Amino acid sequence: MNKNVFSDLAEKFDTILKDDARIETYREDTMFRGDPDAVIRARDETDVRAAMKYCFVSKIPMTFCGSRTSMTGASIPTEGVVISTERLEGIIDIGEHQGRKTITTRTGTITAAVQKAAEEAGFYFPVAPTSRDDCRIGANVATNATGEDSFKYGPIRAYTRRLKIWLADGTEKILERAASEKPSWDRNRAGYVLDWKNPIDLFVGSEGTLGFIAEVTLDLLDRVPHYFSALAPFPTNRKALEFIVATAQSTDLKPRALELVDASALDVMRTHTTFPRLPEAAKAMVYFKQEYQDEADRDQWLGRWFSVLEKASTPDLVTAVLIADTQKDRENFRLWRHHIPSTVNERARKFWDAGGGKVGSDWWVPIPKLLEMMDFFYTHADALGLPYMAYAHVGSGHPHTNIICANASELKKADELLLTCCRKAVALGGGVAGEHGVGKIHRNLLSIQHPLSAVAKMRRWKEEYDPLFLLGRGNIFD
Amino acid sequence: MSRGDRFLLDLSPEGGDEKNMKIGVLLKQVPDTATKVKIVNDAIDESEVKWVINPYDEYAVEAALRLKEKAGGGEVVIVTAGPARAVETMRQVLAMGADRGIRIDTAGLTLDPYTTAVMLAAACKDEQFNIIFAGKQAVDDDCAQVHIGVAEFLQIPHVSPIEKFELNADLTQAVVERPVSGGVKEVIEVKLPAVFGCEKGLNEPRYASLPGIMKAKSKPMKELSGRDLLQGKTPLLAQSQYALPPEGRKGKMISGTAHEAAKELVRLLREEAKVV
Repeated sequence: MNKNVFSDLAEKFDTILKDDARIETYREDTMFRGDPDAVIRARDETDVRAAMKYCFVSKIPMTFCGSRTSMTGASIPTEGVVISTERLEGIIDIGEHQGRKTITTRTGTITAAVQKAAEEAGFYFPVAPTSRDDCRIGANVATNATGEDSFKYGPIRAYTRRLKIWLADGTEKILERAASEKPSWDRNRAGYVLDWKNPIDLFVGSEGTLGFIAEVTLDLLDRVPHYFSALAPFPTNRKALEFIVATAQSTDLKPRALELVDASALDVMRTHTTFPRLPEAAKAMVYFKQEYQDEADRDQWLGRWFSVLEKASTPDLVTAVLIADTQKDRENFRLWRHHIPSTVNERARKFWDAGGGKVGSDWWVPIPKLLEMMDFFYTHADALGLPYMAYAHVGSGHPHTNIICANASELKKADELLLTCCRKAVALGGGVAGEHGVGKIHRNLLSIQHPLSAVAKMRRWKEEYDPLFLLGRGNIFD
Repeated sequence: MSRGDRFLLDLSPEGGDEKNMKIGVLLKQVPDTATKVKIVNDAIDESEVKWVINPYDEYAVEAALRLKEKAGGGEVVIVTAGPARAVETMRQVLAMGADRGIRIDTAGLTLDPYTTAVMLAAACKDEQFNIIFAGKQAVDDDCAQVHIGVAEFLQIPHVSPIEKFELNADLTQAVVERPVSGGVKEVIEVKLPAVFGCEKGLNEPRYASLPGIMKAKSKPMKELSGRDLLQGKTPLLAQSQYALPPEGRKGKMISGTAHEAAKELVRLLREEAKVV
């Protein structure tokens, strides 16, 4: 691409060019290293729109990035400019929209700040990915993010009421739901949602390929519920999984989160400096959260959980079930949980130079198929002989499996296993990319999930909104 | 009792019975440090305050529980002076493993470190503890005086803050480590009974277990009248006015792993602060 074009951009916008060392920050997300030609750090929305118009005319590919917490390379381009939303922070309004309590926010607002603002106004916004202290709300919408509490609250699509979008040429589009419309709570499969009725659903989870999400209006819930978090140790992965499946299908138990920490993930969790000593027999954990109305209600829930855990685990491990009922303790539990991916990512990154790294999964299956799917994964992962683990939203049939690869040859084998597992997940009625999107590194999963005719349909939608394929180039489509 | 009166503990100098060791923990319920303090009508508005265990007291609780576990018996008793809401905090500590609680009801009383220490010391005297642990200070007023006052009124030694604690074989003496300036540690041998103010690093406080929480409901909790224990004593300090400190420069918290945080810090120093 003509270098002069980027020099010209630098005169118009706060731009980091390729020969500036500061661009290094924008070359990597959690999983992928790219090569942007320039980074425009938009000072405000006017900047974004002007930059988009300029790039459209000059046919420069544009990739939008927030905090680069993406797991698929979706926020890192291999060509063209990055338009960074990091300065586009702030709540615009907390009020009513179509008779619903809503929060309207700029796209670059950190997700935790959205939650905090809602809470301070007496409301509650429940969607919180693990990276909520870093990730940005517009990017959450762009991936249809979920998070720990999605077992009860579903993905962000369920709360997305209105979006202000700019298309590739800077044209503004307002997408909103009718008051009576009930959005889907389904997890993602791969690419665009196929059965959308309202174009807002096409944009949620579109991975920055259809337009720039400039403003987001989200439904709020009425109150901040009380809840406790619990870590329940189990003697084996299988026992923990059986407990999760039984709980997810139970009509009595209504947790807010229901996650697995398998044996290898627990080994990582144990390395956190404040993680307590557990009995040696603890080889897996179930992490759950339970909401309650008042102290009496809490005691009832504690009793109910104790009773089911007594039957599902062993007596010494039931004694070791940890409960966090204060904000500080709950936050510690969350940090231990977050310690798993952050530690694994850091370890895996050391193998990047050797062609290795982490192969992470995002597949999911309907809960009745979970045990079959996990047996399948564990059997194949054992045969592979590489370090692996499974954790996260298993209550929704959606674990994240991680395989650590020291070199390119190991990475190739782990990638093959990922494809095998994705085929199995689809065969069992699930999806290949539940919350991270496919971005650049998992584009090949699209054809596992969908027939060619469906992919062709997606391509047509892409062409309709972005005929020059300038937005998020390399995401979803080759 | 007049100001400066001392209680005398009656403990055998011949050595203790490990299995019957009676361990006291002084506990205070304090506002969560994340609380936004609001002043209304020259008083702190408590309506939106979240109440938690004083963080330093958690080390005291853990020290007491470990001592009991090591001994294979004995009793851990928590003593707190506070209004009815303090019961919630006491239950949390009972859920961690303490055996019973004593709450000195302070409703309607105006207190300062002196009067608080008088009440707690009176309650402790009746219990005849072999050893008392407390946080080195409470994070609300940061006075760091109450546990020292308790030791003074009980006429027993105190050491604070301690970062290491060991008990000798015959249970008559503890060896503790106390940080002093310049990174130096004092190693102090203390005859029991004594009061110890606990510092961060002494241990890693445990979490309440599910069975622990369920059992906590049925553990005994006694209530004493603060007014009765004071016997007419009045505070030596009076608060004349509350004011919030002037707003300082806003800081920026950087989260993430060490690797991520270091990268972000360098970026901020270069791009925002423009100092590197």
